[in-house]
Amino acid sequence: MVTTAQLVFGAYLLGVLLVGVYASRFTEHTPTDFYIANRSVGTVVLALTLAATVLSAFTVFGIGADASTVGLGTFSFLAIAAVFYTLFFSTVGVALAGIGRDRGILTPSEYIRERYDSRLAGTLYLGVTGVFMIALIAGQLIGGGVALEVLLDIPFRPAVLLMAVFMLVYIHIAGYRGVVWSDAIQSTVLFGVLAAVVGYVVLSLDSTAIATDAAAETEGLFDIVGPADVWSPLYVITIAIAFAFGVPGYPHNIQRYFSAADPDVMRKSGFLFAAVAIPIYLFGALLGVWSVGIIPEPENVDYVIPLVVQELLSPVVFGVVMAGAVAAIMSTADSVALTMSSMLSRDIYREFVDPEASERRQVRVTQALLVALVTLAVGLALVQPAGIFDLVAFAVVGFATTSAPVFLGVYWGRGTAVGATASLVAGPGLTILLFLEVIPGSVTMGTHYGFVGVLVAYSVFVAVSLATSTPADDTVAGHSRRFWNRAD
Amino acid sequence: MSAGDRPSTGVRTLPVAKYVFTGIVTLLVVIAVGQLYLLGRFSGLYLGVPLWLWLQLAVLTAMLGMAWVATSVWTVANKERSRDGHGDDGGRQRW
Repeated sequence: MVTTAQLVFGAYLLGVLLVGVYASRFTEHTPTDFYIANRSVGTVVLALTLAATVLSAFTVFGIGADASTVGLGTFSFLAIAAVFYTLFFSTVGVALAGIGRDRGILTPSEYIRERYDSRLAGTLYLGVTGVFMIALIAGQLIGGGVALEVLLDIPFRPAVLLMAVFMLVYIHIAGYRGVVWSDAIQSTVLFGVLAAVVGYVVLSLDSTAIATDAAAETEGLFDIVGPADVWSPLYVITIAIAFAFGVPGYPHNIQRYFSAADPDVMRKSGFLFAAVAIPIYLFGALLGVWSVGIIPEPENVDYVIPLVVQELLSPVVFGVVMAGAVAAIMSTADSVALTMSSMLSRDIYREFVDPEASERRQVRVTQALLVALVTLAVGLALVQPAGIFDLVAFAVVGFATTSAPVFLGVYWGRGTAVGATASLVAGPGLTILLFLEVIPGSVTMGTHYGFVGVLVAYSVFVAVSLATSTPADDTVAGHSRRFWNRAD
Repeated sequence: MSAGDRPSTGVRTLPVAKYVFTGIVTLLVVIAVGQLYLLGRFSGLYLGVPLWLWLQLAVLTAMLGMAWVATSVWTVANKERSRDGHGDDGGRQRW
């Protein structure tokens, strides 16, 4: 017996697939079009695809779970970080978009390889970010699969396969254009659904009474530091900084910079992104804390937001919320899968295997790699090596530790290939050791472990670059910009 | 950039723009940290949302406005400089 919620959810998936089919009519089978839509993406679509890519399963499930247990600090750090993202999007993003257009660069690892004139640095960047990307895709699929099993009674394995197949089809036929168009719909759905639920609680229910009940249930839930004093100012600001360096440094976000139609589009889309993402973070956090007053003892704290909706609203709305949740998951996973497969095709296959490969062949290889990567991620998701939130948080801070050669490489001509290589080993390496608790967490002295990894990655990049020979001018020229056009 | 976005003539000169941009970014960091220490004093709930969070939303909106001004200053100063035609940019291509 198919439930109403399952029907709504199925209709949503079909809608996304149709968007992909429609987008495929405009897609050319050239790398420039298949990877970055011929650098033609406008402000609104770019902002919405950035939002959809950044707002992963963590937004729908993680924020609610965190807020319901440790308070509203999750919102504070995510919102502060989002403000700082705009500075990165408007400076580094604009510069990378221009460099990509000038030099015909399509992927982040291609930028690293050309900027440092080093195949090793480019390949290492691909390898290190690849670990985090696979973790991120697997984390998304696990999150979606478990949620669909618990909340919609769709068994875990078919649920994971269903998401993977739908995603594969629309990326395969429409490439980047299919991804960004479906992303635009997915982030709009997510925003609309969460806004509607929060609006319903405020306007139709007594949100003050609900919050008062929640505060009585968990003392200190609405305090700025939370009930367990987790959100100290030091902790909030350091995790916000780690995210501020991590999110704009996602390889899949860097690929989005290359797709911007012009510099003004890049800058404005950064601010529009913040205007969309901050309210979504807020809605998620509020529903999380209010859930304590509505469902004091949920079956599973990870799903408090969908459970609140199920408790308060009709099955149709519940189905739409689940569609929004899966939208957040698929829109992150699809972007990561396309970026990873395009990097492998362009920077491994074309660089090392077949330098004479035609454009059509490069796209075919990308499509084949896409299937292989998603299959690998599905395999990992079915094994479930770690919890979804651990995997996602690990991936986000991991990306932050790979951003030094990109961000500093854009503006600092003194950055060297050896510095980039050392940074790509030290920063992510330390982060992985802290994540696996090989190095005890106490060494971070109250800061977030990702912040320590970022600090080490940037310090190593600067120190090693200064200690090694100045790179040749013709290597740096064309792949970097002055932060200010003229040094006074 | 529309006329409404365009900062005043003063910040189009590079040294002034540098001071304004650096000043605003520094202020953003100070506000980001400072709010975490100051807002916690405001307790109480309004519409089920703690008062400190309402204030934080206002602070975040102001921060976004400041970031917009900072990046506008940066963009305009760099554009004016490249239009002057004597930018020492090492022959790098411009978009």
